[in-house]
Amino acid sequence: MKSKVKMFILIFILSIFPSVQSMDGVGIGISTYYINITGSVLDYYTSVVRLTNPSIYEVKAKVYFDCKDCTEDVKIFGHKIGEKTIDYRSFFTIDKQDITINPSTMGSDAPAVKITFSPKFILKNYLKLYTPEFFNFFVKVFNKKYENYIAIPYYSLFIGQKSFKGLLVADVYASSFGEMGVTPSVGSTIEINASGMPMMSFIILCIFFALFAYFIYTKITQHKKGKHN
Amino acid sequence: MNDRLFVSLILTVLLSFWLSLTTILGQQEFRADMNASIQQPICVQLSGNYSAGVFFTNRTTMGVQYPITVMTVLNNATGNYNGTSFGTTYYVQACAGNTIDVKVAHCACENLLCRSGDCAVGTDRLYVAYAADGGVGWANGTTPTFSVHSPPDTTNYYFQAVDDYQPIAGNLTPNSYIYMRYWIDPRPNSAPSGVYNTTFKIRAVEVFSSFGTCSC
Repeated sequence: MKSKVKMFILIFILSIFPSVQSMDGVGIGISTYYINITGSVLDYYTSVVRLTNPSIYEVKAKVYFDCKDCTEDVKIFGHKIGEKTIDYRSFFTIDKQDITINPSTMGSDAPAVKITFSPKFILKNYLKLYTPEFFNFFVKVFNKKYENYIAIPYYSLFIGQKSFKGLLVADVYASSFGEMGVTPSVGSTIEINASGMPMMSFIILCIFFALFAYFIYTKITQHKKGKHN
Repeated sequence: MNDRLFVSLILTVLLSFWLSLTTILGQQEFRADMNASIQQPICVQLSGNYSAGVFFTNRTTMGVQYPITVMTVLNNATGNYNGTSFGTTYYVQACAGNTIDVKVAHCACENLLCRSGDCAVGTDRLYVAYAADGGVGWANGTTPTFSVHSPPDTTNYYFQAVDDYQPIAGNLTPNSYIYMRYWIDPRPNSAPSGVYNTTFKIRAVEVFSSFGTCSC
């Protein structure tokens, strides 16, 4: 009788094994699907979003901004020689890049990510220039991971308007589930409309600088003439 | 006297501009926070088998992974018919708490690279993108037992490239599921014996948003 019971238990466990295998796995969420921030260099806003976890496993997620419109082609005579990219951190920052989320965390106890919108007057950009094949060969002798371009950071004044869109992405990269072959990821749209210094203000400022320089120049020349006489 | 007045005027303007600039750059305390916390959630969850990965086996064995020996046919993933009533065990669920519809895409991080065996580790590969001699294909449905048993076409239902999001569900309402099956017709057909693998991602966004870039 005992052996029959054992056999029954064994068959039962084996029969439910496939359904156990297909139970829910790893998941992730963001508390908002859309964030629209409009403001100027004089503004300072914060927006808090929370990362949620519907699964019964603890998950670790990378949080980053995946910008759609930050990069433009740089062309000479119609031929693409590189790309210029605005560093989105000149407009807003994300306070955490790596977050651990406890199992079944869906409400206000979910970990928060603060987005701070505070556009800078001086914007950071990167100019990525593709290097020719003959040059790449020599560089790869010393650095096999060289990716056939050089990136040069540069700065520009924020004049006029700038709008761009992208995704605030939360990517699961590890979990108490165990080794994952497929990882979930969610994206929340961020739309930024920022105003810098108005063009007219910039022109007036330039005129003042020019007048000041002219004044200094005339003073110096008058002083020299006076000495000469 | 006129000169002094002129210089004073210009210096005053420049100084005031400089002061405003340093205020902007320095984030002085007198600016008030405007703090917003919004609850319009977007969330997805994968099945356990899907989270573990898509393991390819031969044409006839389900649930357990066996080496692929026929290189010119579609070989099943272990979970394709391993669920209840021979349904698939690969699914993505839009969370019940969602207030919006979502669309879902998958993206292979790399071709399947050789990890061990007779193949050259890290060099030999099985391509995911479709060509005449094969690739990795898939099919989707709204129930686990959906009656599609091979990739419906070679353009939309095979991976097109690595690091590229390919839509697998256009509109998932809250608490709904998309079920998946995967097949591999190994490419190239002359791939050396060995274990090949890669990882891939599932991304969900609101239906009118773009999927963004796939970076693994």
